[in-house]
Amino acid sequence: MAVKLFDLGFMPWKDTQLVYHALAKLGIEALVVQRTRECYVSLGLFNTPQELDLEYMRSHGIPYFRREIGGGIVLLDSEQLFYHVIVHRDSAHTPVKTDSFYRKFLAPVIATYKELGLEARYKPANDLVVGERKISGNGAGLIGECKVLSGSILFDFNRELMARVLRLPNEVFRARAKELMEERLTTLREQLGSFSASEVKRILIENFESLFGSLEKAELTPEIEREMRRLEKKYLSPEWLNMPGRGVNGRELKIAEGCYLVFAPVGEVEIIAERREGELAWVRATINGARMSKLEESLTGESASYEKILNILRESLEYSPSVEEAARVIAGGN
Amino acid sequence: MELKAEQVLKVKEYEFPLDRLYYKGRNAHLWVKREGETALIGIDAFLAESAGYLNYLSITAEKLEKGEAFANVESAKFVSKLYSPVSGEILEINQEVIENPRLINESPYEAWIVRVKLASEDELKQEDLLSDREKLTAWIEEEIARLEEE
Repeated sequence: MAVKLFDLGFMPWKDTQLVYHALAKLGIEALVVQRTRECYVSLGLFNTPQELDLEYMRSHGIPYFRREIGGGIVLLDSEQLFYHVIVHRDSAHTPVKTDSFYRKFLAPVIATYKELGLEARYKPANDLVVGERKISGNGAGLIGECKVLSGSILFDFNRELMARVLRLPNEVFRARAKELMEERLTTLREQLGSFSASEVKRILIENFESLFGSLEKAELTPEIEREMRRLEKKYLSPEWLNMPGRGVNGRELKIAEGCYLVFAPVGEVEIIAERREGELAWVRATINGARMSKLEESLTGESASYEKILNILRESLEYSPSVEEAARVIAGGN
Repeated sequence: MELKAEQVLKVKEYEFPLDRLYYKGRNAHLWVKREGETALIGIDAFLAESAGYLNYLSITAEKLEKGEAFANVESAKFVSKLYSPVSGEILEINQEVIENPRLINESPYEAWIVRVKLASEDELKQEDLLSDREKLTAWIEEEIARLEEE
């Protein structure tokens, strides 16, 4: 049976999420392309609302959704084209290995960037980059009996707002997060200047057709609509939104694959470190607001290894269990 | 208790201690091991290796239904589900593994996920729970072939 194409134009914000969940629950293999005029935040399944500045979001009318698939927190708005691939987990065209799944279904997206003149490439786990700058983020997972890939093509991106909706440890952290997003993320507008959104969509669909064969144009049926409304009750319920996740995560913010900003307090000392490709590229250490230049110098440029960081922290700080915890946070499992 | 070499099946690089059963249904790749009046459930070496580093794990059910999802697990930004090999009641969740799911990658047969009270004695007598060397080898070889095709 042919994979269906749902070219849905602009949709209300929550429907942009509900539609691919509904199709997956109903076992309908499809490519969905769509946009929204509204701005909202989408959390990965293991994120929690505690990671968001809910007061700011409420006062600015920015809602949030907790999707059933993976990936991190994303800010979505009218300057993005969303794509969702829904395939049966047991279909012959569905890879078993996660890496193969991403490579296969991100290939049409890469081809789209290439046709637009950008040398995009896949960076595991699931980023698409131009040079070293992320141009598309993706999340995926199993919903019902279908594997789902969800991502977006960034026409433009509001980094200031992205840094604002997150609940972050302090303003130094927030400012650095924004700087890093400027440096590590890019968009079609920044790369191309001008482009046609409808042309981008046309190329994207064409490239997915090269992968799947001819896609069968489809519209939302009453059955799909019913499923969306049924799921809306679940996904917007306090039980779902507040389900336990990985916990409050003001301590590590992922900017792009290989680039993290971490916050590690040790008593009155606060360390903010940028971990980039396994090295500490930037460090800000303060005690009661005063810079600790010597500690910053010792850590900057060091490899993000737990043992090395622990040794440096032990030389500069009075030992306590929180020193070990700080070293673990800064090293990030290395 | 350390098993002797002949009590561990090796299929290519994957090891399968034969003191437990392996759930083939839904290609779940979970093991179940009787321990007194209860049973432990965990992830086998094939899944632990092919999924990559597990970042998050959460238990989503209080009661297990055979073949139904009871946990979410995330690796490489992909959320998968774990399908229960048996029906029963969850008695205990291994919090150490919930806090650090990478223990499963490091040591899949030590890092159990839940301890259960089986719904009945027949739970461990199902055909899709394998402990037979030949059947287990055939299944894992099939699974390896699927991966290699990709």
